[in-house]
Amino acid sequence: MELKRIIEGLIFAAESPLAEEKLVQLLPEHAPEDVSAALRALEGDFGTGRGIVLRRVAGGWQLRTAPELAPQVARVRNQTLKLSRAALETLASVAYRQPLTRAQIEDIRGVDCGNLLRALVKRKLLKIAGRKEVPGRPPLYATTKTFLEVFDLDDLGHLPSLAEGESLASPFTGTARPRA
Amino acid sequence: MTPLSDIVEPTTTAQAGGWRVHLDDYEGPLDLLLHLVRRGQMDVMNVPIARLTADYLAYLDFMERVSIDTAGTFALMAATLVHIKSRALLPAPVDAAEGDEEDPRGEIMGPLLDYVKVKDAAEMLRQRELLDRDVFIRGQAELGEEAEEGELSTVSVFDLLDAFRTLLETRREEPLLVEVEQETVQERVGRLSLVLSRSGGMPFRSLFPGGATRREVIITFLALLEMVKGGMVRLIQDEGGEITVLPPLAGVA
Repeated sequence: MELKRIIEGLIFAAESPLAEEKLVQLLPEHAPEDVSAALRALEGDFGTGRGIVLRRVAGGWQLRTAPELAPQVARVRNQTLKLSRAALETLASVAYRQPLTRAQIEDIRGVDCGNLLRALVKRKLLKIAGRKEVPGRPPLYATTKTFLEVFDLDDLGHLPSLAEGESLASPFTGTARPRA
Repeated sequence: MTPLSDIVEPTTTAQAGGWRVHLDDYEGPLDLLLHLVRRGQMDVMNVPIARLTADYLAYLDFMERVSIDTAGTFALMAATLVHIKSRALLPAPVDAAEGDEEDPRGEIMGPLLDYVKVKDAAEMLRQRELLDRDVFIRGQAELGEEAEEGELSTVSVFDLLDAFRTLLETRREEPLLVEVEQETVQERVGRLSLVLSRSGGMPFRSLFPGGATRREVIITFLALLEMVKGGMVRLIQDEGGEITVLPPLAGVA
């Protein structure tokens, strides 16, 4: 099907995950149902046995190398992802309870987070999403679309659920804690 | 456990100019609490506050004696623990509305439980198929610069300190007064780097050969801490608790 090939080309050439709605927009000469069907067919083609897979991530479609090939594929890249434990914990804190102020994040992690937050914003994994309407109007941090792309998530609803229940709020939340 | 005073002298004000390692921002008082809770096999839901406070204060004392500076938040946590402990000893105030006793330990257990959940969540995130680690896309993913300092993998500074304390205990000499210059520590860092890259890695213990003086032992340990901070070593720990020190992976940013 010619449409399938066009979509494959578009997804390959796009600079970020391509949402189905966007594909429909880009292809006004084709009916949305046809685009949808072609996409499903394409997904099937990339099923197994290929070095590249078609994944739904950050609300769109993207071609990515198969994870099992990581050891070899890494050889052709200059730099691979490094995320420290501190960065992961900060991202986890924000991801499940966003938006959060720096003070709230520091309360959870028990350490100063200034430099780390700056770095994560610079790496586009976190962003400032408004300010909290309290005295001082501190910035609120939230995860970005890049965060979804890096962690292979379609949206925040796909965050892995935690062992006991869905939220990070512990039974003791609300008990006064000392603030430095 | 051997009394601290048998191992290391308390630091004195005469130590101006002595090199001190600063325990950086990525190891906070909650990390230490968690380390102590796990090491002491305490129940987070029902923490033995007196024992935890004692362990915590002893730990701060030990770090102080081996030239490690901690952020003010560590002292704040110490004060909090002592406060909670004293409240736990008194008859609990009864909440007028509910008639229930308020557990003073909630002030610690709440943050600790939250933190454990965050660590679990972080681990779950780490295990996903990450872009630029497990899967790759055409072209460069725009992830910005790697701006973070070296990290410890699963071996924490506190694991290292525990190993170090055990090591010191086995060398019974005069209690050591710790006072070392920055230059000496940096020289040692250089030497260790060389040794590690040649040997490809060695057990923690072999960094401290039997003939070394107590002072040399401290210098080596401080040098190791600095290397950990700077990402110049990797650490792994086996089930028996033995730590191995390895050179960094080649080419890793």
